[in-house]
Amino acid sequence: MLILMTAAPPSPVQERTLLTRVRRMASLIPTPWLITAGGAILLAATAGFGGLADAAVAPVPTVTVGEQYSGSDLTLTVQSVELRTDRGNALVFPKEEKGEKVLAITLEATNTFHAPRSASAAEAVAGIRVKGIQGEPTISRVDGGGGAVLQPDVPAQLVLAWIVRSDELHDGDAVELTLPDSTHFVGTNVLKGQDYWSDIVVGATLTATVTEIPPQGDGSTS
Amino acid sequence: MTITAGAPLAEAPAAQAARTPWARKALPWALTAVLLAGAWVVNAVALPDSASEAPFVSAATVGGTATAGNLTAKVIGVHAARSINDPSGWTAEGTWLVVELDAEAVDSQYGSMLSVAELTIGDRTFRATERGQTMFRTGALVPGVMRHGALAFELPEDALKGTAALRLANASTVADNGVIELPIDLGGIPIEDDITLPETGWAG
Amino acid sequence: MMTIPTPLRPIAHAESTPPPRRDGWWRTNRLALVALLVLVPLVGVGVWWNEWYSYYGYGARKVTAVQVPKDGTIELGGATWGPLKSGEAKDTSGLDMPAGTRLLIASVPVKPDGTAVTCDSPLLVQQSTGREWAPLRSEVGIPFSSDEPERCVNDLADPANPASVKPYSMVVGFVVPDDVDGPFWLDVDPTGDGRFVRFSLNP
Repeated sequence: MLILMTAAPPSPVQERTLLTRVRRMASLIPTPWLITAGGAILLAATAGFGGLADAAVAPVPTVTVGEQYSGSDLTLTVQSVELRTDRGNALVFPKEEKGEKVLAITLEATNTFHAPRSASAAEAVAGIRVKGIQGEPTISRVDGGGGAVLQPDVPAQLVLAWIVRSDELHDGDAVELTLPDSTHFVGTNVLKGQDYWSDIVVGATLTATVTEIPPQGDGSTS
Repeated sequence: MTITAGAPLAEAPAAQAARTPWARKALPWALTAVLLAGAWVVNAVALPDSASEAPFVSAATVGGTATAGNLTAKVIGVHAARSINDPSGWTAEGTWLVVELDAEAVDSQYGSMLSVAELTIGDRTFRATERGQTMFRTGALVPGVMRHGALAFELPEDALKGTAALRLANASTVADNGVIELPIDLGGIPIEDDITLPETGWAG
Repeated sequence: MMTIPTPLRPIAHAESTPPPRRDGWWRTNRLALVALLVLVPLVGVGVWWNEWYSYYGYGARKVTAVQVPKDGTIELGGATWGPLKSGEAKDTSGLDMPAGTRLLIASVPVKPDGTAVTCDSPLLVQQSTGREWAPLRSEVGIPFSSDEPERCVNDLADPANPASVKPYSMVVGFVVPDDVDGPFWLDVDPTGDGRFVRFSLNP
């Protein structure tokens, strides 16, 4: 007997047959077994990865003045932490009458990426913060030439400056710096093909003692 | 009236197969082989995804004039030094490569600047320094009238070996634009003690 | 007596009505073909317009030239422009001019209707090729002067009233190679829409 396959909906007799066949096939699958097995695998995997407790957080490393730190595809070596009234080559303008001073951190930064990067980027040198002082640093070159682009593998002497009030910091105070770390990505969508750094975290902390440079006589720069 | 699906129908396909010429049976296989070969060739010659944005490169030599996009440039000389200074008194030490050149725009002065100046050495790319008084991203390029100036590249200490490629363009990015490319033999450049960057001005 | 009964209806011969012809490919697909004929150009125009508008549609670029009659003025974008005064600088001995070039000077009076008008510097365009030159000043040794602005300014006659902008003239100089011949246009593009003022300049 030829069974005609047409586009019309199956007749009631055929529908019952189809449903019955589906039900019969479904009943052959050992559903309780599969659910139990799946549950067992989930529990074993959870136990294997340490259970539901929080993972231990790795402590943030500390570095000292003069020690090299690597993060965000940069190597940074802080050389000095000074408090001065004279801004030197830094592009910050303390108001003497308000008693403002400049916190100047001199460091050497080397870009270890294969292309030039801006030191003022949030994940780079501008990501360094001082605990207790608001804002990002103003970055200048020690030799005063301006320009905050770091060429690959070329060490750059930079000065990071913040304006501080005279009652905020004194000679001999300890300051804590945080140095940034981030992950490099290559954009695939809007930033297609471009390099960018994201997931900025604290890579290391540095505690240093502030040295106050007393104001020199008129006309001389520190 | 029922159609009996009987022996005569069942016999026909087998009999037909026995009577089909060998060539007709091989035809689908031959077509498949040809299409597969064609697909392999297309895959082999296809350009990478980034090829649609690749720059139009115009090769240049020292002393020769080259044009790419809205830039016509002539590199006059390539020097190296351990320290550079400029007419304003700024000076910097390091390992510097100084490129002296004449440049002009081709079609339009609107927004024309030497904005792309890159030096590729191996797998590292350096950009001309924005420090000091150079022609990099400073000053207009005029159609038909050459401006003379210099570019300075700050390099790592050990970088003055091998060959490098200098790329210049009068456009914000290199993608889809014309770029002048000049090969430089870094090992063959004598390293001077100090170079004074020429002031940017009219050529000639 | 039985005779063969006459048929009730004439026998329909197979050949008298031709079998119905099947529709050709064109006829069966006529709806789809007409749709293609209409939609393909429509999509083409739509995509073109979208790209054109995203580049030219926001008034930031020069799109439509509004020609100024010779020695005449025109009102556009909130100001009256012209008449243009131009010529070649005869004596450039005190200036730093490159060899093989001449200095073309143009003065464009601007009379804002009231509030300030902004515009970029005028551009000199060679009519035959479309090459453009922009004003140069310090490069040839002409010092900056607030009496000779190179782009639209808004000096207020009465500082308290923003609608009291004083009229002024933009004075610009172009360094043009000797082998570049006129006639030229001087284009001034006030911000706002894509229309810009075009003067004819024949040194």
